[in-house]
Parts: sequence; structure tokens; C-alpha cells
Amino acid sequence: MLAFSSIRLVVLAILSADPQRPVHFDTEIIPVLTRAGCNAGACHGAAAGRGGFRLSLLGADPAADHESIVHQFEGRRVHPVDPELSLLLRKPTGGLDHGGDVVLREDGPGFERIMSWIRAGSPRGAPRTLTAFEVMKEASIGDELPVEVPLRAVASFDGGPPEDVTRWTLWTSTDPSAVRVESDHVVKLSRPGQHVLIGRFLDRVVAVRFSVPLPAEPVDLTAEPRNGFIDDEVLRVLSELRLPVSPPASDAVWLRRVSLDLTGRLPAPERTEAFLADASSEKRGRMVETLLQDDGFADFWTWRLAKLLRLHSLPNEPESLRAYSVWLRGEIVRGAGLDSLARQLLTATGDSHVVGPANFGRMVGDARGHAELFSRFFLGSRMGCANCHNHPLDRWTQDDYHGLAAAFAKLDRGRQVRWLPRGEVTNLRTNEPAVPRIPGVRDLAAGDDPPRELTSWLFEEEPRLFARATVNRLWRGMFGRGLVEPTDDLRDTNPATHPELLDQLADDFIANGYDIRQTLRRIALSETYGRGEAVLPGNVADDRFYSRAYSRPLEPEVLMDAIADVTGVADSFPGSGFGRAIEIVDPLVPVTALDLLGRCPSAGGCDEGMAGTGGLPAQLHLLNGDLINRKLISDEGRLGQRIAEGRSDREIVAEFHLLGLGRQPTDAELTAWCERLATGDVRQRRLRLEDFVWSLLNSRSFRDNH
Amino acid sequence: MTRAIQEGMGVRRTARRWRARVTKRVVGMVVWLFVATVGFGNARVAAADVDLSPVVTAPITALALTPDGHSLVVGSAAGVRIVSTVDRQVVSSMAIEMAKVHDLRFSPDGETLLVAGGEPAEGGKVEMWDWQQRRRIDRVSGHADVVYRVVWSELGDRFATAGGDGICQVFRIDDVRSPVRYAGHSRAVLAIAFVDQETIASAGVDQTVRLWKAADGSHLRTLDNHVDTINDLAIRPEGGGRLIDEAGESTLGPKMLATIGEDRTVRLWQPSIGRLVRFRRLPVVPRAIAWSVDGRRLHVGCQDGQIRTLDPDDLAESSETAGLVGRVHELIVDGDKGLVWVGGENGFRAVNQSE
Repeated sequence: MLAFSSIRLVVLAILSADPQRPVHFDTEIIPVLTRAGCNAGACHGAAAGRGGFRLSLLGADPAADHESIVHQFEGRRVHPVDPELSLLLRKPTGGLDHGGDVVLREDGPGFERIMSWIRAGSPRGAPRTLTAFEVMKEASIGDELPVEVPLRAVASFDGGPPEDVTRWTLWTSTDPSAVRVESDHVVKLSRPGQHVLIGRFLDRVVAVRFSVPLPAEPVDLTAEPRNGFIDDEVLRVLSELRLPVSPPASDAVWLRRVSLDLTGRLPAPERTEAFLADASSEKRGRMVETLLQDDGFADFWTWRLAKLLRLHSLPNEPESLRAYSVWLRGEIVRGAGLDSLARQLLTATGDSHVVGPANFGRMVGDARGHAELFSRFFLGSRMGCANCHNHPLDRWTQDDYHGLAAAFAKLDRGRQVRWLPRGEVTNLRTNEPAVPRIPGVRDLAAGDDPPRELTSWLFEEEPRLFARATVNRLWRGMFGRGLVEPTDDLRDTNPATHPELLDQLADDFIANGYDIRQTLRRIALSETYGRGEAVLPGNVADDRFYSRAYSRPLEPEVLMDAIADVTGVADSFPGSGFGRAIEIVDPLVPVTALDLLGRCPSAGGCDEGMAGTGGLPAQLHLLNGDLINRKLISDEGRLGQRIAEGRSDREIVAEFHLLGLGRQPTDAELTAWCERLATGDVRQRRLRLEDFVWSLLNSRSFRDNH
Repeated sequence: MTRAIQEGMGVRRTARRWRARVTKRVVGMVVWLFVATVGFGNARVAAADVDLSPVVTAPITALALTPDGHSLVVGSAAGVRIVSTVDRQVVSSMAIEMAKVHDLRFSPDGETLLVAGGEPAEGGKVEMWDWQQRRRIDRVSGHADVVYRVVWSELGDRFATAGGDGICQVFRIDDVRSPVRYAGHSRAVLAIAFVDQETIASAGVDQTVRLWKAADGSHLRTLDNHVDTINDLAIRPEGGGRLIDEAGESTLGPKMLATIGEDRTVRLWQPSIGRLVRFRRLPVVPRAIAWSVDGRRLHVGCQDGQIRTLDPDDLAESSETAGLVGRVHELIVDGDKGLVWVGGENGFRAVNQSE
């Protein structure tokens, strides 16, 4: 028995050893080139190549690379008789002038491997498929920093024994100041926190996450209040990182926060006062229910979804946008599951002036735009890169991109939306008509119905894809940042801060019928959401683990409406029926103030995660523009009316505090303001009160949700 | 039944017995070895049909038929060898001094052989050999990259080079030290030909055909319908484009230029006016092109090793002949014997193309 085991071990060892066989181009030469940076986007992997030599980006197309290296220009790059003379070796080793400097050492394993391959006749080799790639951290991370962590990457081909490919894996740190690649197999961690290292081997990309605790004493969060799996998961990560949690937010802060997050509106003074006076322990739950059923909720989330779906007016067809937005709002009002909404978007046909969801494909110009909108909205993924080359950091290939576009190629995007019997897009990789395809999964057969197949894939085969993208956006709506950021760039190499939580939220979302209200309710009532923004010495550096609340600027439309609500002077917008900025779902409606405040001005939409604060123009407009100033001097406005009614300074200061900040002023604030406002001159008093409101509206406390 | 055939049958019987015994794994290894040896090219020509060792140790990148028609000069990264066209044995070799050979051209009088090539990314050169003496008589350079093509003028008083550095040069035989330079191409030039004694057409990676004066290198015209690299070009021989006038007299038609490119097209041009006459898209990338001696057929050597013969009047394919296993790099026509010699990735071979 012992002998048998020994023999088996020997056999396994032999099988695991590097076999004595010719070097294989696709799986052994391409990694050398990738490791050396030859096929990077900044080098020969650029779309136009470099120096007349073009390689596919990161070796995505080995056949084309083999052609370029071995055969192009009558085989100029390899010398089959005298391999040392090969351009492929002389350039990267510095034997000849090379724009990319020396990237291969003559005594290194990469050089030797390429040399062996050329000696063997530069074959492409028999097909050999990478079936598994795994990266292992070989040491636990202690308290001492900096610390070196050995890495090991193994790959299996055709289901065979694992091979050590650590040396041929391209390691990229997402934050070199915290994680630095020291050598082929060692990274150096020099800062606490959560860091990501990307390992690439051939077409596989793996993200390795390092959680390095703070050098402080461990924190005990077991006694922290928690309300469901959100708090459990957030506290677990905080414990790992030794981050203490800040005290809960006050009721006033929480109410202002949840009102803005769920309805895009400041809480009305009456609602604030009633809420603050309520001593019940269930009052937050009741408030969330009230807000979720509020018209403001429907308006706000219609606007949010409209941005994601890139609603905009079509030339000479206002009916289309109207039908689309009315349908969208109706779905939200009736509490339809997002799966139902999504199915309609994918399958609706008919008169787009009547059938709202039929406009989904009309918001883009062509099938490729349709594919990109599909991937952004349904998958939370930016697939656009794969138009020209395989996505360098994601799994999408050019075939996926053009195949998905081909799935929408037969859609007639005229007023009568319908599926035509023919229509195709060209796959830019093959220059042939693309085969309709479910991205990353399979080609569609000739008789398949693409929208039906895509719907089935999204909601039956891979429901987590859409659910993860959606709950991540809902989370962002409530916290100002997604668990994955940006929220339209979900991929393995951009991991979530809390991957387990993201999955739990997605599963919960699916289990509750894709009901956004349920997920928002769960988040709003969590202790994590209710945390205060006070900064503790131990969590000052935290900007993503929710040990405290993070202030974030109000979105342009929300800010504009809030200013109107506080000043009591409504804005007038072009077109009919717009009472509030949040009701304008069409970015093409010209509103200068919104543009200055940072509204996405494009009908094609903007990348999610781009700050909508408008930068310097917005600051100047708020300080000096007429958005605030015009409303302050209006006699019809709240301030003018209160002065006319003979209200005291104290009353006016208290009312505006309650309106703008969602709380009563403190005694110190009240006293300070009253001292500054006190004057016997009527005109001077008016000016001072205008200055008070101006100061309030320009304060971070007002312009931020905190 | 001759002894040789009997032996051959015996070998086949033995092979059949062995085939019955080999395991699936061994079959896989054999397939792998085959693919590793000959690549993934079209396998319509068996490897045994192609001349390999000892002539071929590297892809054939240049071929030239000797003036007496008895030998073939074969160029590759392994050097230049002279091979009998009868028994395909190496007769001799030439001691050239360049890492890569990309073209071989005999002068119209057959006395001088030009060997073009060089060292990639370092320099291009052309060696001039006295063919009778098998002696190098001169060497010209002036290119910063290899010379991909060299071509003689009709009178044999000049030759022109196309360089990987994007430069073309025209050398007078009586003064090779003062070439005329043409720098109109933005990238490597892969093909060049004399349209007539005074005009040169060149083409390459910048996707353009450029017509320019041999005397001073001044630019005449650009033909730019290709949408990818132009791999080769060839001028139709005189007589191929004969026209019959109203009186029934035969007259010479206009000059015709054929080009092939990575865009998989064959294009026919009228270079004198810069007009694209017609084009045809092929199923695979064409690599080398040659007119028949009478100019009535166009032979195109392709990526898949096939030789596609086209009728220039409509570019319809009149035949498709198995050429090589793997890519074709060179195509030359032996009008006397009705043969097309094809050289490429895995050797060289004569194909009967009786006209």
C-alpha cells in the first residue's frame, strides 16, 4: 500500500512537472509578452500598434499575434536559423533601439522561453485551453507594516494538473502607494485598509483583496446595535479593520437624510416637528413607510431611473418621452417589481407615442448603443471597450459586444417599434456579420428570439447580475457611494468593499420580487444608515466602510428644488407642467442653472459616479448668481412675507433653520444670529435677513446631505 | 509493377498495421507534431509535395529563375541557394552578407542578380552579383530597414528598391552611389514596380499606391482605395491588354497595374490616369501576385497556400490550384514551361499553369 502511494506520488509529481514539450505560443509566449508590457495599450497593444508592430491588447487574439510575430512582412520579427538575431528578442533586450526601453533581460526566463520557441520553429502549437487560474496569498497579514506577502498563481490547461504561473502573471496594484509589486511573486503592503491587487494571466483576471487592520487595538463591536444582515456584515468588516463606529445620528439629521434620499426633498417643517416630538421607538419605521408612499418618492425615483435609462426627448416627438416617463412613473407608483419593468423594456414593441417601454431602444442611435445601454442598465457594466478590443479588465470580448449588438440589430427604432426580419452589425474583429449572442455565455441560434433569450438569461439563468447592479445603485442612492464604485462598472477587478453584503442584498432583492421599496426600506432602517457623521480618532481615515456617515453634496436638481422650497420662490422652467427641477427627466430641456450646478447635459448620459457638483461654476453661481439672490429679494418669497407679517428675527431664524437644516437652531446659534440681525433700520434689517438666508443656503450644512 | 511501387505498398501496409495499434494519445501527438510543423494553414497540399530540407530551413521569401531556366535561386533567412529545377537538389549556395533575404531579381540581360534584404530595424541592402562568375560585384545600402523588393527597369539600366523604412530608391547601374530617393510613403514599402522606363509604382503599409518619377523621385499620383496594407503589386506585361479597333486592328491597351492587400482585395488600376478599373474580394488574404507572360491571367498566391488565377477582364476566378502548405510569400512565372513557382512558409513548389 505504501509502495502504491509512493508510486502515485511520483506519477503525480511527473505529471505536475513542466513537461518536455515545445513551447506553446498561446499559453506560454503570450504571457511573457504581457508580463513585459509588450501588448499593453501604451505599447504594441494600442489599436494602431506602435512602430509598425501591432499586437492584440493583452494577448486577446493569439492567432493575430502569432501572425504578426511570425509571419508579417515575410517573417521579419523572428529569425528561424539564428534565433538570437530575431527582432522579437533584440528589441526588448536593448540590442536595438526600442521605444519601450529594455523590458526583457537576456539572462531571464522570458528570453529563454522565447528563444526556445523560435528554435522550435515558432509554432503556434496544438490548441491548449486555460481551464482554471487561481491566485493564492501565501501568508497571513499581521499588524506589522510594511509587510511582504508572497503570492502564487497556478493555472490548469485542458483540465490538467496545475502549473505554477506566478512568474508569468501580470500583477497590477490599484494603489501602488499602499501595495507595491516587489518582484515576480512578492507584494509589499505599506498602509492599513482594504487594498486590491489585480493578477492577470492570459484572459483571466483575478482581484486579490488584502485587508490590513489599523495598527490600533482591536475594537469590540459585538454590543453595537444591529438591525439585520446589513449591520451584521458592515460591523464584521469594521471589526476586521479595527474601525470604531461613530454614535448614531440625531432624529433630526436622520429625518433630513432619509427624506432627501427617498424623496429628494427636505422634510416639511410640520413633519419635522411632529417627528421630533414623537417618542415612539417605531417612528423611524413609520416615517420610512410614509416616505415610500409619498408622491415625492415616485417623482424622485422616476427621475433617478430616467437618468439610468437615458431618457431624453426625440426631435419632433415629444409624445415619446411623455409616454416613456409617464409609464415609468406609473410602474413606480404601483410598486411593480423591477424585473417586470425590465422585461417590458426588453420586449415592448408598438407605437412608441403610446407604449412607453417601447422607447428603450429609441434612446440610442443604433444596435451598438442599444448593447451599451443594456450592459450599463441591466448589468452595471461598461462594455464599450469591447467594441474595439477585448475588455482589458473585464470578461467581455469583442464577440460579446458585437454579438449583443447583433441581438438588437433587427429592431426598427422608428415611431413604430418592431422587430424586422433582417438586420445585422459587423463584428469589427472578424469584419463579418456578428452572431447574436448572450454576452459571456453563448451564441444565439438562428431561430432564437433575442429579447426573449436575454430576458430569460437575466431573470432565470443569472438573476444576480441585474440584482447586484440594481441594489448597488440603490445603496449609492442612500449612502452617496456604491458598494462597488462606479456603479456602472461592476467587474471582478473592481471588487465591492463588502462583496458578501452585495450578494446578500441582491438575493434579498430577488426574494422580494425585485421590489426597490423593500431594499430601500431595509437600508433606511439599518443602524449603518442611521450612523452619525461625527469623526472619531479611530475612523478619521474611513471613507468607505460605513463606520460613520459621509456627507455628500445634493444633486443639482435636488439642490435647486431645496433652494426653491426654503426661499418659497418656485423656479420657472421651459415647457409645460414642470413644477420642480426633479420632474425634468429630459436633460435636453434648457435650464442654465441646472447646467451650472452640474447636471449631466448629454442625451447619451454620463458615467455614473461622476460628481454632479458642478465645480467652480456651481460655487460661483450659488455665491453670486441669481439662483439664490433673485429669490431672496422677492417680496413674494418666504422671507419677504415673514417680514411683511411682522415676524421677529428669532422666529425667522428658527423657521429657516427648520426648513433648510431640518432642525431648530441651538441657543448659541439663535443668540448669535439675533445679535447680528438687530437693527432699528427697516431697510437695513431686510438686507441683514437676506444675508442670513444667503449664508444658510450657501453653508455646507444646507448644500450637503449628511 | 516496379520495385519502388511494391516497396511503397509494403510501407503502406506496415503503416496500416501501425495505425490499427496506436492509441488515441499517440494520434494526438502526431496531429500536434504535424500542426507544429506546418502550422494551421490549408492542408490541401500534402507536406510531402513540398520541397523541404535540405533546401528549406526557413520560410522561402524570394525566388528567381535563372536565365537558362535550369535552376532556381532560393532566398530565405538561411541564405541564398541555387537549386536544380529538375531534381530540386541544391547545386550551390551564395555567400551573401545579410540576415534576411526578401527578393532576388535577374537583370533583363541575365548577367546580374540582385539580392535584396538586410537586417530588420538596422539596415537594408542590395547585393549585386555577377551571375556568370558567381561573384559579388557591389553592394548598395542607404536604407534604415530591410529592402523588401527590388526591381529592374525595362532597359536594365536602373533598379529600384522598396524599404521597410518607407523609402524607395532608384540606382543607376553606372553610378550606384547617387541614388534617387522617394520618401512619399509614410510607412514601410512592400512592393515596387516600373510602370514604364520613367515611372515607378510603389505600395505598402500606408495603404496607398504611389506613382512617381524614376528620374528625380517627384510625386505624380496617389491611388488610395485599399483599406489595409498593400502586400504586392505587378504591372501587366505589354500585349496583355490589346484592344481591337473599329478597323479590326489590334493595338496595345493602356498599362494595367494589379495590387493585392490585407483587405483581401485584388484591384486593377489604370495608373496613367489613376483610375480604379475593377476589384474583387478574395476569401483569404492574398500575399503575392504575378501576371502570366501574355498578361491574360493574374496569378495570386494566398495566405492559405492556394494559387488563385483570375481573368483580368472581370477578375473572375478561372482556377484555384493547390500551391503550398501555409502562406505564400513569392510567386514567379516560368513562361517557357507553363509553370508558376511558388515559395512560402513551408518550402517551394512548381505548379503547372499551362496557358
